Amino acid sequence: MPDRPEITVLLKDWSAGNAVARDRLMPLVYDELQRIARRAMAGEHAGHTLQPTALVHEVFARLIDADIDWQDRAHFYALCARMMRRLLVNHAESVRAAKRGGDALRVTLEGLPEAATGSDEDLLVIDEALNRLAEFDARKADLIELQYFAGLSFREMSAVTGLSSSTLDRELRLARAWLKDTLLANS
Amino acid sequence: MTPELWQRIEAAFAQALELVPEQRPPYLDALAVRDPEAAAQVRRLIAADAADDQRLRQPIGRALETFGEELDDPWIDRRLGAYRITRRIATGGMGAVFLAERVDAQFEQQVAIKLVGTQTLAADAQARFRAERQILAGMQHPFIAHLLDGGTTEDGAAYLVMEYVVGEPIDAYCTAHHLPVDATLRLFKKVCAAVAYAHRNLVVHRDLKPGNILVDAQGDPKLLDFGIAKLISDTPDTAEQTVQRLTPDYASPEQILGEPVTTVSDVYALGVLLYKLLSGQRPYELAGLRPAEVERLVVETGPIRPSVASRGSDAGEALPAELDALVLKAMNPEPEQRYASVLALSEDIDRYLSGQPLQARAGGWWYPARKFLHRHTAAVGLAVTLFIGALVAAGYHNKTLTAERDEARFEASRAQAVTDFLIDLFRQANPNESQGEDISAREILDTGATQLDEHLSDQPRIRAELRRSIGTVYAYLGLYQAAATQFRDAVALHEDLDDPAGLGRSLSGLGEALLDLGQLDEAALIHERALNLRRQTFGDVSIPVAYSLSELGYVRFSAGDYVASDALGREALTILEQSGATDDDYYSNLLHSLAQSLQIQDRLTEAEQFFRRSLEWDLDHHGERHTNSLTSLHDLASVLVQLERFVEAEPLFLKVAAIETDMLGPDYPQHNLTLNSLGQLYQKMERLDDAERYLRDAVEHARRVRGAEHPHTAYLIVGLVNLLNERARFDEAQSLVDEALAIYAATVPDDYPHLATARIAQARTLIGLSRLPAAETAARQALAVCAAALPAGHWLAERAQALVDETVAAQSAGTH
Repeated sequence: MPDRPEITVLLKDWSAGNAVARDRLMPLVYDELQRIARRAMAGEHAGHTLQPTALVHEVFARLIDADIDWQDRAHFYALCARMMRRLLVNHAESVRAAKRGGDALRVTLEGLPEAATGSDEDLLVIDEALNRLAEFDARKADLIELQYFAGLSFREMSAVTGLSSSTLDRELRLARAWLKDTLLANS
Repeated sequence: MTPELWQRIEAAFAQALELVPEQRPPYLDALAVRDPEAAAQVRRLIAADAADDQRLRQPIGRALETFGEELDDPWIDRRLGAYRITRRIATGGMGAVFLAERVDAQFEQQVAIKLVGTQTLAADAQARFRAERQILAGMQHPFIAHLLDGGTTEDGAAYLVMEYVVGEPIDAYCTAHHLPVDATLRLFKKVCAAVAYAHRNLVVHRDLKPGNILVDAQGDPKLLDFGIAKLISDTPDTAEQTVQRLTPDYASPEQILGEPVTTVSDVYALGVLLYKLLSGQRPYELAGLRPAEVERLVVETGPIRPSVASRGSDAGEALPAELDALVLKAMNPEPEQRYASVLALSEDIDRYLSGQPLQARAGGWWYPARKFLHRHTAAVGLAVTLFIGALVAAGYHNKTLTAERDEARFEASRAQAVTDFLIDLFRQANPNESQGEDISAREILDTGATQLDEHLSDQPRIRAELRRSIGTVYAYLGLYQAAATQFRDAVALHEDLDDPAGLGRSLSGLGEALLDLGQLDEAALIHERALNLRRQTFGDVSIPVAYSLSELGYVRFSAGDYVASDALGREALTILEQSGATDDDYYSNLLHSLAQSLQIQDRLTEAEQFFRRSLEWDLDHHGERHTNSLTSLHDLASVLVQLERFVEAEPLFLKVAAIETDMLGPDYPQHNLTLNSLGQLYQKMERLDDAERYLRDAVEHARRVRGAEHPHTAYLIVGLVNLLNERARFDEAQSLVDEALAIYAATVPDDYPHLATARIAQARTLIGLSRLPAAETAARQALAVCAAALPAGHWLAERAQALVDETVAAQSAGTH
């Protein structure tokens, strides 16, 4: 496991504008997310499902000193949300790559649900739409990441971003509406 | 998207959302003139805003789920015989499917490996499994995926190695390629040929469905999983197990009922498949239904004809009615009534393709109806669309009100059947009366209501559902009497059917309609009945019971029985909490209603608690900038004023006022009420300058937004008059109170309750001006209004009486 003080320092450096610190932080967070996810799946509680909220909070608890200030915390959660998104998108892309010639891979066994390719495709569509949103309103795309990929609650988001609940509500609502509309138009 | 455009969209979106929904279209219309580009986008965004976020939430949740499963998959990289597993394709209760490759890699060959069952097979079962495998491996047909190999793992689980087929499920293929009817039939004949080949080898498929029939790049079908169903489970299933395991849409009634399965069971599945391919629709929506419900739907109700169903979809080509007969014969619930073999089905398709009379043509009851419809489809079209729209809305409403999960699921699957029948019904409705004009939704409703019995005489269940849907739509249109009639019929039908869930919903609808009609006693009786029924059906602690309690509570509240109403409301709250159903606005609204009821009863400390809970919930779920949160905040502050905790109330009112202006704009109609509340608060705090400023602002706001001649403006003016009386500025007060009374005289009847307040204020002003006889007259007029408009002993009446006494005493003192 990566050294905790070191990560806190990286985080502070990045908050202070050091992009190198961010680049070093990203793989650490990515790996930790994956590690914790694996441990959660292999864990004692068989049959439970992964929750973004739980994963992200656990990564935070494991990597970061509790007493960092809120700007650093905000940066960290934003990074976690981004890494969580990348993790899932990478996975969905590898599933897509497993299909040949663009045809859906469908082999079913009696009584089995069809392969979960649909949700992977849906995820990639969401990813694409978020990229487009980020082109003209990066802040809203970040907020969506926090809400859906890091699973933060409204209050947590308000605490982490420092935005007032009214601003947050307004921004999220528009971002969500735009995404829902874009997804609908793509379907 | 340019940043400038996005900024305009953002501003307009925020503005539009702050308006009540009815005010949005005019706002957007106005915007469309100024800025058509932004207006078009905002329209779409407003529509999207109303939709839930499952499209966002679900894929992310599911992606995480599959990701997590793969991380922990002990099967990946494992070797089975000559194969190495590379990826899990699907998982289910009965086993799993993997993608695998040959380890010896003499040539690259990908295969699909099916792990059948997670349990170890007993020795004799293993032997049977091997024997069956031999038969399946012997099947060689170009349209059947080949079984390559099989075995058991070291821990004794059986697996099969199959040809790995890349292709599209046949239904998706037909849709994607817009396959015309004739081409679809020719493709379907290839499927029949493969099934017939298997039947000659004494293998029944048992689970034919689109997911098991892939179409490859050459356009040829490939059937998967032949005989696997038998291989996996040699012991006869109970009906319950079969339904869980099989794809119920394609399983024949005899399979569902656990009766012997034969080659005509495959004929049934092929019939359902052909239905789907030709109409684009499934004949039934069976997922999640219990076997008894499936049986009832399939055996008693039957599907609507594919040619009718296909018109609901965007299938380009009209479906000839001859094919209805063919499809429905194949999927007849009675095995003896179906085609005797797949070959016979295939031959009838040949007859159709070559224009000969069909074997299936015998019955033909639908034929005249179809011709009739063909002539009138266009005229009926728009009206049906309108009506279905209303019905979908009604369905949505029902769903939020009946959140009990099983019930909702049943309702959802039922909704499809109901809608199908509606389309069918209205296509058969006689449009001659309308002379080719479009028929209004109301007319469609009326026609539907009168024709239901005739057209669906043998389907009481569907009829009951439709009666309730029509009732709900009537209620939306404000036609409560008509709504009550429909609900009553639905109640009677559900009673005969012994369907407590449906009966509960219909009773609930009837109760609401009766309340709207002002028949409170009857409404209470009906809701009580629904309540008792739901208690028996769902148990005391269940969401339907909570809804019934709160509905009954509202009736009691309307009747002025606050004690009973509160008790019911609290019980409903407790149940929602115990059921974990506290995330719906319904919960917060219930808290708020309880608080208001307590406030009316002057139980202010309790009212405060409930307003606080409601406020906390609203803030948590909607944030501060939401009209629910604002209302809660305002009402909490008003209770604090009544409790004389002015210092706590002040910041709350100020906050409401600030958010209102900021979020809802300067012309938000309710804003002057907040200003008025602030003015009255300062008056009580004896900060009279502040009080006057806010009360004057309130009046100005109302004059501007509501109009100078509006009774609401008069009401606010009277508030200002009271302050001026207190400040002994009686001349100013007099001209204002005269203005208020003139507005009332022009706009409201003589027994308008607020007239009493105005007359009392006037009496005070006149006393201040020492015009005692006129003051006495005003006080007596106030008393008369109280007598006409308010319950006996109301505090306003007491106040008016005190003023009468005061003026009379003063006058007699003056004369003596």
